[in-house]
Amino acid sequence: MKKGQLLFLICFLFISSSVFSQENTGMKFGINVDQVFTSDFEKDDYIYSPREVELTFYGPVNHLFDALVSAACHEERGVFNFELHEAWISSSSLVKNFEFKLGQFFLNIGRLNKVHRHEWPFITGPRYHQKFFGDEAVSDSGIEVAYQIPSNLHFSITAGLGSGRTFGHSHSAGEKPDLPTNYLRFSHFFEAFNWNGFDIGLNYLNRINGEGDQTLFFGLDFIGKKKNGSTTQHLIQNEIWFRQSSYNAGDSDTREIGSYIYYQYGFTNGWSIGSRLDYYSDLTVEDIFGNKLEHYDIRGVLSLTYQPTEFMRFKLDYSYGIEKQDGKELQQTNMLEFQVTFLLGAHPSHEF
Amino acid sequence: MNFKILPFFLVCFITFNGLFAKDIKVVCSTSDIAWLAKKIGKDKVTVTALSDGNDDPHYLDVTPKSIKLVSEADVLCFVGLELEIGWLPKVIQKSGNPKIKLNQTGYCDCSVYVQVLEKPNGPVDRSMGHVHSGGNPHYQLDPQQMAFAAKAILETLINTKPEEKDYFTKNFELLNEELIKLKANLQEKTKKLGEMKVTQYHKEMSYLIATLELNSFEAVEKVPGVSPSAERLFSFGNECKTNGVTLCLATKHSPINKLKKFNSISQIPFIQERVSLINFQNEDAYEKMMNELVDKIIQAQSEKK
Repeated sequence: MKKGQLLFLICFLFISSSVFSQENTGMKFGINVDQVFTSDFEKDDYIYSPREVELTFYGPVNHLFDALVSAACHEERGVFNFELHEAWISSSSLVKNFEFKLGQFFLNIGRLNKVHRHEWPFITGPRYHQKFFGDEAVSDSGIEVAYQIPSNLHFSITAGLGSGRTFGHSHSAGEKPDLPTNYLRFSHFFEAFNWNGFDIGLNYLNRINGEGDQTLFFGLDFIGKKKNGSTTQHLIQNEIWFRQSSYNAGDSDTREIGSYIYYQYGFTNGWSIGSRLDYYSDLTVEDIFGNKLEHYDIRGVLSLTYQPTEFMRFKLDYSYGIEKQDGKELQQTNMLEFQVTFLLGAHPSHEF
Repeated sequence: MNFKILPFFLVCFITFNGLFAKDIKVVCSTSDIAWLAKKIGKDKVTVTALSDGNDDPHYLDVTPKSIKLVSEADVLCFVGLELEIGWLPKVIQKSGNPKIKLNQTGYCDCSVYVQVLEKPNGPVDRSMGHVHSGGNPHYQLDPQQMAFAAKAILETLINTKPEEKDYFTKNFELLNEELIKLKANLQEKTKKLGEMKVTQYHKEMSYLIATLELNSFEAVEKVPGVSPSAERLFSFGNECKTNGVTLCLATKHSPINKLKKFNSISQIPFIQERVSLINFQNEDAYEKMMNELVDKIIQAQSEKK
């Protein structure tokens, strides 16, 4: 029996047995299904599949610790892989204003990286996100410590250390890195303009793999929300990331920059419209003579969402974009995506 | 340095610390519960609310601000009956505050003594829409139920600071009298209207309808929490007309376009009001809000006649 199938079987047995045994434990579980239909007008092709089925279990372990385990079945090029997403324990009760997390988890950097893909406000991530962090997000095994500075100004610092054996989406065990993945996020929450709040974060991440190749990130993320009852009336979300990669012990390096800005307006009866503008550029593209070439990928996305309840969402995204280098078109994006997501059972609430 | 004066400073510190004993920090999920806590605790408590009349307490976000407030609380009071289920458990968990965790001294579920309306008889699932398995949690619109909620707060405050038991009890008794008197006054006001049948958009007004002893006719939302379809608005609007419904009650969060559509079909007026306090620090804020709400009903009814 394959490892993935075994894990799936264990989870299924766990669910069925837990139905009878979870009383008085506080454990909750849920299944999220994310189905996407993609019509690529450029390639004259379409695909429809359950992109992801995720099982999540969470609850208190004892008076000090909480835990979460999630495993997901992903469709990758027609093949379904069942893999562990997260398995961690955390505690906010050990030291005042500190939260510790230990295990495997999505790194608490930026905005998209820490939210599961089926809960993103758009179907597919910006191009830079795919290139920098993979289709979904970077997860790693390690420790993360968050500290809320004790003042009414709501500043927080998150520091983490991951094993760094792999980075981004990987199905291998990886190899011992020269410098494990280490990261830092400094954030500030504030209320203004009669909105529910704004959160701004500065991010840093560094890793050197076993061959001495270094990946260094700097990023800025921002979110603002205004709600009216159950409806998010205004949502504005933005990230800007810079990546510097050095290869062969610094002999060559690349510098890339990527960003998106997304705005969503919600009507009161479950409908919302949104638009996103993405930008990605490789700043180090050169011709064979070593002359710098201009390179950019720019993309616009228009979204229409219908969310009858918080447990289900229908979404239609149309993306159009173009990638150019030295004035010449490299590729075009012209794509329509339709997404259906639903939740059976419970799901832990997200932080702002 | 002369260490002989150290005991003197120590005695001074202990004495002054005792003299300026800290207030109980009470954090409440809604402004209505915060108003109750302030009325009972008065100058012995510092009360903060995580939401006010502009928010819908079903759907608050877990913010660094709410986590910080709860992390510093001695007492956490909440409406209960699963109203805050989507966000409060996470806030409690992230706060790391042992005092306000489940069944600890500072954990105050205000619904424990409330006479709950619309409690489902059998099991509940999502096909029934936004139904709370414990029953309707919007009891803040019945002064009598608010008095029951106050009783739960009183017990928690006494457990937190037993030496102030008499002070809290005296304030609670005054509050109880005030709420009973308010209920009688509101009922007296609406008596003049005679028989009156009302409907509501979402079942957030059930306790008010029961308090004023009005006749209730279903709700515009067929499935709770799900926006009604055009077909539902049409059929229910006509049903209300034939059944003699004279008013539709709705909160500020109800969609205005649906209410207008319902009105154009049925010719039944609607009133759309805030049902939670904006400024809970005002001693008479609750009485004022309830009177304004009832006056609006009377006014709408008089105009209809």
